[in-house]
Formats: sequence, structure tokens, C-alpha cells
Amino acid sequence: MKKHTISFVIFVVGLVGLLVLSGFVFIPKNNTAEAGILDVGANGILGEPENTIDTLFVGDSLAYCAFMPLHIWEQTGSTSYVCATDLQQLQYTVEMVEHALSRQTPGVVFMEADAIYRDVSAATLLYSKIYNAFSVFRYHDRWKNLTVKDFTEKQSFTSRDDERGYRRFSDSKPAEVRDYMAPTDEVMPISDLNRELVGQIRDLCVEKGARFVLVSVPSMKNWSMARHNGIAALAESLEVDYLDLNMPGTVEIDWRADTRDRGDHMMYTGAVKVTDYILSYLEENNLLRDHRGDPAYNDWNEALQRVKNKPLT
Amino acid sequence: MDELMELLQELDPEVDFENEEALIDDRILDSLTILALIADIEETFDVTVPAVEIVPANFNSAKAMYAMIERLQEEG
Amino acid sequence: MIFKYNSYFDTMYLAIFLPVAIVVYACLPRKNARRVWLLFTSLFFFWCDGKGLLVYILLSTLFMHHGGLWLGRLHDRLSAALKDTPKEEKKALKETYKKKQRWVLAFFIALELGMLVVLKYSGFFVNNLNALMGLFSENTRLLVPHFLLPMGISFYTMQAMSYLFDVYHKKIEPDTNIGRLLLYMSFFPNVMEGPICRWSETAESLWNAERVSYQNLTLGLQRVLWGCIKKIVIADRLNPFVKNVFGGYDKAVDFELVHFDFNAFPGWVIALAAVAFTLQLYAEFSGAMDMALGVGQIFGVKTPENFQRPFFSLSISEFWKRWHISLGAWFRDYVFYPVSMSGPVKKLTGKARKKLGNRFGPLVGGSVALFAVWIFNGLWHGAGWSYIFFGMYHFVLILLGNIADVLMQRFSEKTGFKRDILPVRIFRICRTAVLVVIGELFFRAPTLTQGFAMFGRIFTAFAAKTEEIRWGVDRKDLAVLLFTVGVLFIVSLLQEKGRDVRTRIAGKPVVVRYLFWYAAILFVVIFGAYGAGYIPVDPMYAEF
Repeated sequence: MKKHTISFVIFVVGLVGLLVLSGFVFIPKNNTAEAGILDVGANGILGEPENTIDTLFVGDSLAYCAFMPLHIWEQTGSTSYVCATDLQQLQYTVEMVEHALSRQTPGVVFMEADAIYRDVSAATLLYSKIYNAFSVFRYHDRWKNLTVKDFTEKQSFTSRDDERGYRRFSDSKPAEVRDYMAPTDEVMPISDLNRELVGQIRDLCVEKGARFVLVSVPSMKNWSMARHNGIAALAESLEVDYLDLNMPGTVEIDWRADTRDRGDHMMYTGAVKVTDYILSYLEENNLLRDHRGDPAYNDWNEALQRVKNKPLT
Repeated sequence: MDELMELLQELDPEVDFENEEALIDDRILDSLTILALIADIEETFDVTVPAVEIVPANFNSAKAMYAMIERLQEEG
Repeated sequence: MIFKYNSYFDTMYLAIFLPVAIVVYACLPRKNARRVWLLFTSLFFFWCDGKGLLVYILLSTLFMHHGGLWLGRLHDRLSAALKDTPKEEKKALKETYKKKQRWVLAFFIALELGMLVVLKYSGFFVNNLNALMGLFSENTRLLVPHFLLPMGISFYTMQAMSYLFDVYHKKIEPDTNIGRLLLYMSFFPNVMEGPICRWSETAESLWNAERVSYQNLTLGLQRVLWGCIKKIVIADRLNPFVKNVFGGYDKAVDFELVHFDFNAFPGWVIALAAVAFTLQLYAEFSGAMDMALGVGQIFGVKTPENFQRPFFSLSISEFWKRWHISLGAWFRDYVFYPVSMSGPVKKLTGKARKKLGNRFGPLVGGSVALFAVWIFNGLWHGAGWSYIFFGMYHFVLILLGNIADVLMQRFSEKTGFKRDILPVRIFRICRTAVLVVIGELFFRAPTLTQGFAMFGRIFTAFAAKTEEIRWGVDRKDLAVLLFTVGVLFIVSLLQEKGRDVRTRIAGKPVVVRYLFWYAAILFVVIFGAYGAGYIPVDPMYAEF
């Protein structure tokens, strides 16, 4: 039996080694879609020069439809990035923040709160742990496009996203306002695991000297007073600010014009309103830095020109 | 036993019933042939074969079938 | 919920549940502790799926326990009474007891079957009843009930019924120990998709709770890995294509609804999709069985094989003896023989033999029994007309096959035509496969009407407008598929020739073995259809 145990241990060690090694082959060598990276927009931050991002946004699709880094740049010369992905789950938000903060030193991190009500299961947490330890599990599908370079090259990220993670939508589908944010004392509960994960994100930010702010962008479909109450209570217990832009007196959303898909996501005009509100918050709290005129930030001006010249779709 | 062998040969002349030990397991006899066989057995040996007795163990070989028939005759 | 599994191929099951279950089991020194552990893990597994639904399997076990003991007591009393009875009264006494036993059996079978019927079929029956009543008046509508189905109910109910039948027929002794019954009913590797076990084959080795042996462990894990290749590499990679053509049942989990319109496909694509679905179903279901039997082997449990390379079958009748074997065997033992041996059918067989002769005669009685089998078989797969049609389709094919078989025998006797030479065998194998594929097309089609429409298109729609087809698989996927299916075919061929592939591999020197294992594991990890871009596929047979 002892002999079997030893050979079994050798086998497992070999297997783990093999999986780790193959991970080096399968991990994308650049942050472009062609290189096989997932979530190209959000991962564009990997291509930004170190310590050049002043403000970070994370969240799900609500976030990438609402926060406009180029607008902030145009108005103030301050830089920002939106690391938001479809149906983002909090364990992935943690990863996104970890990656961003390892190369950037933003003064503030805004987290869109919608994802907090997307329950993370133990299974998802397990998958992401396995996926992170062994990249081969996450990127195995790249076998279709593997080249010789994948075996020899190291990772280097060269791709930058002009819109800095924001996704522009310029078609609007009007929403009918009904019971939106009707007053209630109800508090929608947040699962323990999700609470824990938000706490982790806050701790990461505090450790790196960034202010952590919870924010809810206007969404008739996703937001309610009960959710507001839940997040407000969470913000209080974490001792962080909470900006709920669904509340009256924050941003004036015209639900006939400013939404892309009947009250779910913001379209371009709504995004400008949301970003203006964020700008005023940044200004009040002295979180803006002005890089205009610094040649190291030239790409921001060029990106702004490129985006302005691009026809709206 | 001879009577049984006769029955079996008539049913399927191509099978070596004397030596075959896995008539059911090797799918040599299918369920419809079994039905015909049972009808023959019942007629020739004056026994009733209940459905419970139709298990591979009783039909895998001629020997097993004969043992079953003898048992059924005793039970009467 | 801490754990949630969709299938035996869930990371949660493979990476957490199964290793913990095996390691703890292997470390427990005492037999009783191992039994309790197996029982605990099985109930926990069941509980994870549906919490309160656990009550159904507990009830089923309770009925089975009680019914078995009652029947056993009647047997005992009868044999005690027979001792002191004069010979001439024995027969009457036997009859009285037989009658009593029949009532007891019927009562408990009704309880077991009743739970299944109510939970699984009431919706279907009420729907059809409503449609029927709608013909006469427009306003009468019964509320259509909808129940949550406990995991594996179609499988464990069959196990409970076979136990009661076998006790009634004195094939087995009733068991006083309800723990043993509960483990037989709920053993976690089998509970979701079978195989349907028999008490006499499985219960003892289960309760024996053998220590984990090195040989059982490695052979078991080997089989688990083989199951993973079939399911994750073959079945799941075929799924997008099958789903694009057939549309249908995964819509609820789809983030983006698949646009379903088979009219967009030329006939040959539909035919191809039917083949792909048949392959997917085989890889998926037999893969799940490799998983179940492999895990069973690790615990030293003997579970019956459920597949025996069905696509080498010469006829449909043979196919059903090699595909989902445990279900076919169940219907053979508890429907086919009892019906064909029952008084009226026996008489019918007798008469028919006199008129039609020895070869065609038994067919008449047999067909009655066969009809019963296939109605139940169709219904077992699900409450829906396409399943009933599926059953009837195979009933007719088997019937025709039987008649043709007799005719062919006569033909070859007269002409000396050899049916056993290779080309003829290959022809028969292909013909059987084609017939099976057609059946699976109806099986997979969302409704029976659509099934017929799709089948019709195969022969009528030749326009090859393929630019717009969403294939769901690209050339590279196809290459992996062809390679893996090729391996599956070669392994099957070797097994068909009687080679024991599994122990051969296990007997190789350690270095070769390790390299083999590493290659196979990496193969699944790299070429498996999972993760980003793939929607997890629910196990097909767990719904039945």
C-alpha cells in the first residue's frame, strides 16, 4: 500500500505540474481579441502605462454603458477606466480590481452595485479558484488558434481601448415609468458570501490607498427602493460612500430618451448625465488630477479625436 | 432429455444445443423463440412454466432447462 | 445551497463531492462506518438536488420495506400452514394465500407507481383531457398540475417495483433492514441516470461496503475518465450543432434564445443533425454510465452494464438488448414474460401455432406482450406523444423484424444465401443504425408534428443554401470530433472482438501508464467543450 501511495503522490505532482505548464502555453500572450483574451474591453486596462489611471470603475453591463472615461478626460484632463463585464459576478470583480491595482494607483474606485445582488455560489467561487490557479482551464479553447509563439513568448500587453472600457450605444428604446423607486421600508437581503466579497474589494482599495465608493446607475429594470435600502445599509457597515443615481435629485434621466433598451441600460445621452454627476463628486472630493499638456498622456487626446470622428452607430 | 433435445433441434437446427452453455447470455435464443419453446415444453412434459422461471439461469443450456422441468414436475 | 450539481460531470461533483466521498470512505476502518458514510453521502447528494423532494424516495423505500415484509410473512405463514394440512386441502389453501398476496402486491405496486404517475404524468393527462373536453364545450378546463420531479424517480421506482415483484415470486428474501433498502434505492452514483439495478445483483455488494482496493480504484478512475471523454469531448461538442437544428429544450438556460426554424436547413443537414443527435445521446448516456459504473467499482459495487456497443447490432431487437440494457431487461422480466405467459395470451399463442405453425405462431402472442412493453417504454421516457410514437415506432420495427427474420431464414434455407458473411452483416448493421437514427429524430424533435415535418424535409428539401447556417461547430471542432469518435470506434471494435482493453492498459509498465493517463486527462482539459462560450448541457436521461 505504501508503494502505491508514493506512486500516487508522484502522479498527482506530475499532473499538477503539467497543468501549470500547459497554462503558460494557453494563456493569451497579448490583451487583444486575436490573442484570445476574454473581455477585451475590460482587459484593455492591461495595456495602459503603469500608474496613469486616476479613477477606476467596476461592475456589470450597467457600468460599461454609463461611465465615460473620455468625457471625464475632455472635461477635466483626469483619466479613468471601466473594468466592467457582462453579468459580472463579484469574485470576478475582485479579480478585476486586483489586476488593475497591481499596475495602477487610482485615487478612487467606483463599484456599480447591481452585481452585489447577483448571488455568487460556492461552485462559482471554486471554479474561479481553479481557473486562476490553472489558466489552461480558462483558456483551453485557444487550442484552435495556438501558434509557435505561444510556446516561446512571454506575455506583453499592447492593446488599448479608445473608449477605455465604455461601450457607446446611440439608439434609444423608451421605457414607461411605472412604480420605479416606489418608497418602501423593505430591505433586500444580500447573501453572506457577497457581503464578504464586497468587503474584500474595499480592503484591497484601502490597502492601495484608494477611496472605495458604491454607486448605482439609473436602471428602471434593475433597481428598486428595497435594493437601495440594502446597499445603503451595506455601505454604512463598510463605512463607504454610496451614490444612488436612481434617487430623485441626483441625475435627471429622461426615460423616453436616455435608455438603450426600455429602462435596462443607459444609452449615450444618459451616460453623459451619469458621468457628469460622477464628475461633480470627484470635484467635490478633490479626486481629479489634470494631465492635459503632459506628453505621456497624448494617446488620450488622440483617442478622443478618433472616437469623435467615428460615426455613431 | 431426448424429448427436450428433439424439441430444441426442431426450433433451430443450426444451434449445438448439447454443448452450448450461454443460450440466453449470448443471445442465441431470443424472447420470441423462448415463448415457442415454453409452449412446447408445457405440452410435452405436462407442466406449467410460470413467468418467474424465465431467467437466464434456467434457459442457458439444455441441461438447465431439463433440471427446471424436473423440478416443476415434482412440485406438480 | 452549498452544493448544486447539474450532472455527474459538474466540476463540483468531480472536484469536491466525489474525492471527499472516496477519501473518507477509504479511511474509515470499520465496515459499519463505511455503510453509514455511503448512506449519508447518498442522501446528502439527493438532498442537494431538491431538499424536500427527499421525502419521496424515503416514502418509496418505506413502502418497499413494508410491502416486502408483509409478502414475506404471508409466504412464511403459508408454508407453516401447509405442514399440518392434509394433501387434498393444500391446493385450496395455496389459492387463498395467493389471492391475499396478490392484493398486497397490487396495493404496494400501486403506491410506488402512483407516486411516479402523479408526479410525472398528471400534467400530460390533464392537458389531453382538456383538449378532449374542449371538443364538446369551450369553458371546461381543468387546472394543469405541475410538480417538481425528485431526482431519478423514474429509475428508483423501477428498482422498488422489481424488489416487490421478486419478493412476491420468492426470488429473493424480503429484507428487514431498512438501511440496506435505502442504500439500494439512493446510491448516489446511480440515482440520477441509472442503471436500474436489481436487488439480487447489487444489494449485497453495496451493503458489503468493501475496502477500496488499488485495482478497483484505478480501474474505476480509468472508466470515469473514459466517461468524461465521451461526455465532455464528444457529446458536449456536438450539442451546439444539434441544438441549432432541433432547437427545443435548453431554451430556458440560454442567455440568447436560439432562433429555431428547421425550415432554414436543407434536408441533408437535418439528416446529419439526426445522426449527430444519436451520437450525442449515445456518448452522453453511455458516458454517464461509465461514470456511474466506474464510481461504483471504486466502492466495490457490482452494478449491471447498461450498454454493450449497441451500434454493432444486426437488428432493432438486438439493439434494444444492447442499449439501455437495464431498462429493456426490466420490461422483459416484469412486462413481457408476465403478459405473454398470462392465461389468455398463452391460449392465443397455442391457437396461433396450430394455424400458423411453429415459426409465426408465437409471434402473435408475443406481439401482444411486445405492444405492452413498448407503450410503457415510450411513456417511461416522458409524458408526450413523441415518446409514445417513439415506442410504437420501435414496436412496429421489431415486429416486422421478427417476421422478416423468419422469411429470411426460409429464403436462405432454400437458396443457400449466407446471412452471416461480413458484407451482409455490415449491411444489416448499417440498416439498423439508420432505423435507430430515424427514431431518435422523432425522439429529439420538440413536438411530434415538427418531427414529421423535419423527417419530410430530409426527402424533399434539396436546396443547398448553406451560407447562412449556424453550424455551431467549425472545421477544427470537427477534426477533434472525428478523432475522438474514431478512438471510440476502435475501442468498441476491440471490445466487440473480446479484447479486454481496460485491464490491458492497467497491465502496462508504470511509465507508459502514467503517460497514458496524463495524455487522456490533458485531452479532456484541452479539447473538452466547457467554459467560456459553451452553455452547460443538462444530462438528457436525468429528465426521464
